[in-house]
Amino acid sequence: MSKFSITRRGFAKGAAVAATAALLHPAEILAQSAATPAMPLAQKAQDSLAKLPPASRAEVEAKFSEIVRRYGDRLSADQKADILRIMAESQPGLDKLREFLLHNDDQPATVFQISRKANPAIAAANEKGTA
Amino acid sequence: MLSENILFLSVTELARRVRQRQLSPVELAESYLERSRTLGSRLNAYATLTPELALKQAHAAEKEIAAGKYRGPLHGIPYAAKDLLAVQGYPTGWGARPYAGQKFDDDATVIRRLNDAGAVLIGKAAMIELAGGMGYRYASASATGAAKNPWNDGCWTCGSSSGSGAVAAAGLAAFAIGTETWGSIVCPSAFTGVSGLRPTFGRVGRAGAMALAYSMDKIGPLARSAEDCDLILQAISGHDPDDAGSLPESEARYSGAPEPREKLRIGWVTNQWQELSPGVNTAIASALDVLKKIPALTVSNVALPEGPWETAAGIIVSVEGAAAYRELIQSGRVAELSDPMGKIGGYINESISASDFIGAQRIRRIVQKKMDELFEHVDVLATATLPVTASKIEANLDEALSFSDPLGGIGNICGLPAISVPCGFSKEDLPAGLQFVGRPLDDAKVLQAARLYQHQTQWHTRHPKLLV
Repeated sequence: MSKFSITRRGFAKGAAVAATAALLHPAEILAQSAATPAMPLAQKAQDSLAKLPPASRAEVEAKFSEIVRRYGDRLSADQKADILRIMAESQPGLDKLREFLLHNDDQPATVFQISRKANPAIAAANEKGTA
Repeated sequence: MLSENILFLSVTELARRVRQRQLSPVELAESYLERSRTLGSRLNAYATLTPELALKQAHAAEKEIAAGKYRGPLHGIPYAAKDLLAVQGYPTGWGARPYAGQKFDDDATVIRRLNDAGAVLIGKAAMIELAGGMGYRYASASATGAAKNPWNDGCWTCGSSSGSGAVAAAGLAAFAIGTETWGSIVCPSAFTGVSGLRPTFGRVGRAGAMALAYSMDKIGPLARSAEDCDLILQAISGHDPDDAGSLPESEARYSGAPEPREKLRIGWVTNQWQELSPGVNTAIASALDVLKKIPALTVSNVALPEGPWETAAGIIVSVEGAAAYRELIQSGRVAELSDPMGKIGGYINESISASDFIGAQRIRRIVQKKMDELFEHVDVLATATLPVTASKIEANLDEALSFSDPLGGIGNICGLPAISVPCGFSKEDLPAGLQFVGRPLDDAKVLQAARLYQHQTQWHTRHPKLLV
């Protein structure tokens, strides 16, 4: 689906917005974007964020800022607030996942396997013990 | 136009009549096509109808059968395929506006296998955009609008195989093909009262199927009975050299579920749902009573292992989906999707770290082992497919379907086969589903359990009253 690749102009525009957004706190981003200061979605997002422990909250804020840096120019105030709320509400699950005890030798379910097409010449050589 | 009594017959019975030349494949295709044009349109069941292809295939089947060349139980049997399966010469829009009109040069493997079996493609079933890969909040998250439930058109069919559920339940074809990454076959089956099979991961080839989560996507049938699902799986299973997740032929090939030689050990799951709605609760209690009385079954209580399996499953779907749709997300064309969640979900999913993704994959392996241990004690797990009956068509799904689903998460990251069969109706006359889940490659046991249940009950023979 290469027809949807980002244009150079789109990238430049995104980078300009990003330079500003990266310096802002999520609450400021939402306040800047909001049509009205008492927007319910923004409030919900802030409420969800406030429930998190400081480290989790900082992580959500950092990730949210990165999304706004990259894509903020195409997102409405409501969409930004929705993203922040969803991220804040998802964070406790992520924190629990990280608490799950894993040992060094707990391999991921996707273990690399080598692959090659069957080659009759090599198979024949193997049978003769010459490969 | 054939009568409803015939159009709602099982594949098994239709096949018998077709083989004995009591039923014409052409007449069958024309009747389902007519019903699909009228009822299908009202239910938003289809993305595209394929009448030219259907009639060509039906005429070919009729000619072959008349000449004594019978290919098997799907020969001359009409079906619909979810609109994420490529069909040469027809659009395959993945339910999403950014891909409307998209065409592929080759048939998907599953379509090719059904062609080989002599089945007749009536149309491409509607679906949730990108199979829900960017997330969705409303039933209307589809280029073709919300699929309406044949039992009550004010209710949804569930997704993402939303059209496949409507097609099978409304008798618009003899069966439909759907896909599941997490819930997309079993949920529509439960909401619409049909029998839907999610095969073991890797058993049905996915070449030519839209990818959402490469390590979780499965293809399976939605039909009138477990017996029908068994026949259809026999036709569509097998190794697919163009699908990296495909099992070797010796494992992928499914040869049918014989009568069980020993008693099947059913594990009744005690910790799947926190609460059941009254309608589901009554139906599922009756289903348990039925299972306990079947001599070929033993039933004992089991508990699923506790752990962050659902979060792990969610991370895997989200990251694989963000990778599969990277260009759609980064180009901003997700804004063309219908659903408010779909427009932003990709941005959130892109922000998940590689470390968390690999952590989820490591946890996935642990739950695989835990489930394998559980299956040392039972053959098949059983529980309600969902804790509720069909949601309202306009409902916010974040609210209407916001429940924990550990077996859904586990089953889909472990690639376990599952079937949902109808097990009763609520006071509102909406179906409730009973699911059976098995060990990888134990599709036959899952089907045996469901078939034994359906031998004792008639829920799967009920169909909605629809005015054509």
